[in-house]
Amino acid sequence: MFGFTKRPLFLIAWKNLKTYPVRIFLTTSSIILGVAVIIASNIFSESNKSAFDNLFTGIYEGVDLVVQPIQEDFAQGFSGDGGQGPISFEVKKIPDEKIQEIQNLPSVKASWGEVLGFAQFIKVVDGETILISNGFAPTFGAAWDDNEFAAQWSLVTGSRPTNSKEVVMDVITAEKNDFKVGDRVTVLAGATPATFTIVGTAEFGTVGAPGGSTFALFEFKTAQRLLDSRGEVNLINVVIQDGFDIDDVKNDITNLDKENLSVINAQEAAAEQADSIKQGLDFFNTILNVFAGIAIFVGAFIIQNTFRILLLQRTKELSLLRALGTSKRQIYRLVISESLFMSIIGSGIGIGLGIGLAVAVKEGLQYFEFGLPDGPLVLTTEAAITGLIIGITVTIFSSLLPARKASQVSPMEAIRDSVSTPKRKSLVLRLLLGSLVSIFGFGMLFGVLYDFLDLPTLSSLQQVGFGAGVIFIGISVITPSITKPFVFLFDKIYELIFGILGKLATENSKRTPRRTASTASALMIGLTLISLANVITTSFKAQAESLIGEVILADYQVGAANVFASPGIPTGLSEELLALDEVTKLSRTRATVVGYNERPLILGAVDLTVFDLVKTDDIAGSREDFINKNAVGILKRTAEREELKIGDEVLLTIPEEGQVTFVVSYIFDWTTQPPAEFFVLLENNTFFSEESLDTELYFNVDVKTDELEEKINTIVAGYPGVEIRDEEGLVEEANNQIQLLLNVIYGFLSISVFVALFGITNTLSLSVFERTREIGLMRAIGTYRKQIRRMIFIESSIIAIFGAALGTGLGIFFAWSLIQALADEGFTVFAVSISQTFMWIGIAIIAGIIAAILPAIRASRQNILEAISYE
Amino acid sequence: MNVIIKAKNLSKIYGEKETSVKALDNVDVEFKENQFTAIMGPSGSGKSTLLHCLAGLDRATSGKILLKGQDLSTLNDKQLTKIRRDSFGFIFQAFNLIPTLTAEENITLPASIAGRKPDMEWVENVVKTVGIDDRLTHRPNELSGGQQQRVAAARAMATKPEVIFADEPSGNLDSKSSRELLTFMKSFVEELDQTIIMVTHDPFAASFAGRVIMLKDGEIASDLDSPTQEEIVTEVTSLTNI
Repeated sequence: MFGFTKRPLFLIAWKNLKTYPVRIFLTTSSIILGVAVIIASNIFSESNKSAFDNLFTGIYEGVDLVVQPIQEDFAQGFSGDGGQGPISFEVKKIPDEKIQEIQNLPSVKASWGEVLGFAQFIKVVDGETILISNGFAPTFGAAWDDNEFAAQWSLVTGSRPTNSKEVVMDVITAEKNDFKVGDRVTVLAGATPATFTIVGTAEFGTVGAPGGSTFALFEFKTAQRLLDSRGEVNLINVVIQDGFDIDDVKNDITNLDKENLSVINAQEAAAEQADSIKQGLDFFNTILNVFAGIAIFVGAFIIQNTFRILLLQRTKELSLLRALGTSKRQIYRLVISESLFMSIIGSGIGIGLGIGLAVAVKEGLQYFEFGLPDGPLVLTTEAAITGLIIGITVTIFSSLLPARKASQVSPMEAIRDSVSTPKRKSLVLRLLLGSLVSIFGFGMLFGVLYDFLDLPTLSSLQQVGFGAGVIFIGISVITPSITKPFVFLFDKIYELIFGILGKLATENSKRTPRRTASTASALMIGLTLISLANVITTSFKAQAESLIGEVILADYQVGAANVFASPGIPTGLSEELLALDEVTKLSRTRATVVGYNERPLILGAVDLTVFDLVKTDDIAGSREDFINKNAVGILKRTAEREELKIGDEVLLTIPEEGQVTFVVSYIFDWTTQPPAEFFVLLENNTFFSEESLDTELYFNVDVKTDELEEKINTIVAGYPGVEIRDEEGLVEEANNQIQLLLNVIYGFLSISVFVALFGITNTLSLSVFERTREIGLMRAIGTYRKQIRRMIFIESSIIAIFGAALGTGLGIFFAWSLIQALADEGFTVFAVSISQTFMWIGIAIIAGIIAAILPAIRASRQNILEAISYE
Repeated sequence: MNVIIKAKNLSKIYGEKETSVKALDNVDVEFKENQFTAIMGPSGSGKSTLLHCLAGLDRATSGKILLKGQDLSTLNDKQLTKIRRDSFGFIFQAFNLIPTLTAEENITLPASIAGRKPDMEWVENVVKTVGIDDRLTHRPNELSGGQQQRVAAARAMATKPEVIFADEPSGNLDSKSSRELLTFMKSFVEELDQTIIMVTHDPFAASFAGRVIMLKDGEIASDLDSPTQEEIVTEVTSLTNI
């Protein structure tokens, strides 16, 4: 029976795919990866969002209302410290009496207060003090909720804390650090460390401890004392009496103290807390999406290339269709429908892989006890559809050009015997077009750097970025035209090293410059970004190094070991240090949040000696005037922003002090990261001199000796959570932070290099296919299999070096331009890490060789007789 | 004259049981040094299979190939490849040259692959014999078909091989180029003491050989010593007519 189909080409397209599943994989491998990353990041964040929603709703279960203190206007929504050292943002708290007042209301069934602050567990291993924390996650101290309605913490083992010597530890920290009920543990809360007995372990909701933070739970009064909340609580939880309307109760409580209390529904509070965490996760999600975007962009290059390759292999089949009377248009549609099928399948696989990836990430974080709440993985319909649309669109767009080209195939090709070599279009037009685009890009970039072209709507940084993007496109267009000259550079070297095989490999790369170039381009993208990141960070490091040497005049700096976790430096340390004869000069810095023009701002208090220990530049006014009682010194940039000049009066709202008027007497430039924006002299202001914590100390000694260093270290060791650094230590610390960031970026960018590998594999596969006869001939006249493989590896290394060299060059250049553009912000050092640059080029070459393994094996196993037979 | 290469009880069977085809059926044949032998026969007679087996390009199902007493059938791919490179020369019907290499580079390719310096005096001599000394820096696509085959012949000669195998070397050439190529090949044997085994279906080409072997259905049908073109045509006709 003959079937009849109205859509024969659709049928052919479908049959083709069914017959050659490997094609789907080759073509869509890059899209699968890109879609997978998008889906995974979406699932990950959505799942966590819903899990956090559940968690916080669970925590407030049974609680009807939450009473919060009304913060002063300027502190509303203040986050981020803007300087160094910890600063308490909760400027106001609720006095204890309010708990009882609320409890006394007839409509309230129960009310209890919550106390929260910083508390750091400390353990001593082999005589060394170790601060227990998980990276940047905070270390909390809190009061144990005794109320029968409190549901946040539940005991896992032991009992609740009942006196000032007892503590309950979160179960994760206890398990990770081998603490048991009955053990003694040192906790740093407030100024001085103290030792407690662990009487129990507890978990928060069902996650142990949220977000990787550690928790020390104390008896209520003890918590208030330790966490700087004597007679106060952070908030009050309320359960209402049956039969009362929630809004009425809300009003009842608000009316107790309208000025200081705000009451919200517990569910709102839960949503608010969940939201703040979700925002953090959103940021993570955005980063993942950016990298997924890069992977897809690289993928588009590869899909286009692979399509061209596959279609070339099918020239005969397509030309037979043409000979049988299929129109060009129909061939075009045939190819497009194939790409449609492939993209649907590829995106589908990508979504599947994405789910797997999300599970892996979740398991990974669980393994490191990151404390994410448990919950089912959520794949939203929107995410799936987005992934599908992106996958399909990119694939189809990438197949348009190859499809057009395939439709141009002559019906004669079917009859001809040899594998056709594509007609070579001139690369001159390409060179011209690409050069024009690049010149335009260079014009934009240099225009802003050398002040001859300023696009009014763009900031200089944007203009540099935009110019760099245009240059990148221009260079991509040019690459095929410069393939030959580039490979020419290799000719002699390769021939010298690898003999005839080197010659053959270089000649092959030149034979199809377009293909070589587009394959290299995929790698170029990744390497551009990698070397950009590399140079920027290396420059920042060098900058930090020169800056620290230049601006820190002090021999030593003392600061909190972990600014996110520890409360600061107990003032006892500076007193002990000053007591040493060898310490010649010491300056203390303290800071607090104040209100200015109804905005929060950091007010710093310093000793006058700070100006001898940290480099500052006088801008206006003088230090003599700064000594005055009501004098305030301000940073140059703050003065400019607030339009303040010497002699102006500023009105500051200081917590627990009220409004105080200061006179601007000194404007200066703090050449390092400034600890505050406004400064006063420490000794002039009692609210500062009575503080128990410093944020930073700088000091000088008469002669640096090992003996003295020992002495100082012994003193500092008495203050856990405090770290002392000399110049070297400061540089090292700055470098470590930058390197950590760089490693994360490297990790993500490696994905794009990985995707580019598929492109190299595909290109080499085609190259091998086209040279079936050539390779057969070489084998016939006595070339070893090993030599054939080597030839393919050499060819691959050329593509890899080409892509890596272009990418590295562009990346370094872009980094240079960026740093030039940032010169006004104080970035002046441009430094390239030669070792890392070569490391990445090396990695690219190795990657290229790995990508060549399969094609090389295929080439070396080529059947000689098939290649040379004509019968 | 000494025997340089011989086949003993050589059989080659393609396919499985019922569908199997015997391309070579217990063939015994010897080739002497410094002789130009043509192997002829109709399509499917097994002439190409015999050449491929002798040249170490294909493996026989059973039987032995002895090159100066060494049994090729016991060698692995690497050893066979080395023999092809160092002891054999090849001229195929078409696509004999690597398109990206110049004529000179193609000629010295076997030596280059072996990592040796070719014997330049000998190579120059060969190049002069085939008359392509003014074409050495050209790439294959800049050469005519006849010139390309002459470059291939020079390559086959360049390593001073024990045996040169030619598979329809003049199959794609016009009659003038064909005559030139075969004349050169004959002169290799007569003046430069080479040994050539050539497969052809063209009686004109075979008439250049000193010995013509006829194959039919995988067996040797006749073995002629210095036949004329007419004798060959008669023999071919009689073989095809039966």
